[in-house]
Amino acid sequence: MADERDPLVSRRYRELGAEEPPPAVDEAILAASRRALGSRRRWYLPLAAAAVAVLAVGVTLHVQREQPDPQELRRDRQGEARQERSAKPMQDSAPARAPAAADAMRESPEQFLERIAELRKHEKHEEADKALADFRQRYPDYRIGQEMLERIERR
Amino acid sequence: MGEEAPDEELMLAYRGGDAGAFDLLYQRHRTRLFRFVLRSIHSRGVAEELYQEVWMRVIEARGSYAPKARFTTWLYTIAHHRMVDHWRRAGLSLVSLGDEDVAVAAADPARQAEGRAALVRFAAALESLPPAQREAFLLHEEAGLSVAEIAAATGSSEEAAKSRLRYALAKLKAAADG
Repeated sequence: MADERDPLVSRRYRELGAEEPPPAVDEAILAASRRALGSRRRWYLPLAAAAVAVLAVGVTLHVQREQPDPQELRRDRQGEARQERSAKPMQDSAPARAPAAADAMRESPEQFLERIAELRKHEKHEEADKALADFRQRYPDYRIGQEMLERIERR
Repeated sequence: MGEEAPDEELMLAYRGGDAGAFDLLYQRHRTRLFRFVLRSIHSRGVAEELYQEVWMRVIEARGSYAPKARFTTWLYTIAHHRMVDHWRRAGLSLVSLGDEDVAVAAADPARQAEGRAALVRFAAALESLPPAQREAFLLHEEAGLSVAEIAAATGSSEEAAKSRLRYALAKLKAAADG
């Protein structure tokens, strides 16, 4: 029984009409067929999103762990401030001593002796004696000439 | 995938991710399947809903599709199951009504007034067929299934399918001749 069709029955059946599905139904079905493939092809997208989220959380936790404790940081800053304050008086006293030291550093032995001779010349013997003592301490091996010796020593 | 490709190849291609293969398959079967559902159900709204459900099932089942039989037989097997579900929800059984005639629906007077009495008689005869006989006729006439394929699609024996088809044709021929 390959084909039981009766020509008259088939003709009448065809005359009933050639209804078709509405375009909206066609579109819905075809869209669903594509969505089904799309969802299968993009299976890795949610996985990739999850991997990125895990990585982001990991990095955030790592950064938080590496950051110093705010309280500890505050303590450190307070300690630094204290050190700065305690160092200040030393800095303040330094300028008072600086000129003499600086003068001594800048003077050559000859200039130093000349300054002592000037003090002696103006009979500032105490200062001259003190400066001479400083000179001998600073330049113990310096050989002072006879002429200069007469000018700087107390007579 | 070429337009001459068999249905089974198209379905396999769609299963493999070829959206265009489904488009071709759909274009081939849309009108016949729609008329099969529409003339089985009579209500256009319900028919459209069932028709869409059949195709959705095809889409969902693509992964398990294997060309053991013709694609058409597989498609109309799905349609048959959707139809059975529909009849069951409506409180009717497609199988139990298989050998019993239902009351002939009154012909639409408007149609008769148009002078298309023969066609109206034929439509009324088709509508009045027992659902199983009408289904057998539509599967044969509209979908082009053989008796063996009708039996496979409806889950019945070939004898039952053959008997239903012959009864349906006899009644429809009488209406067409009249």
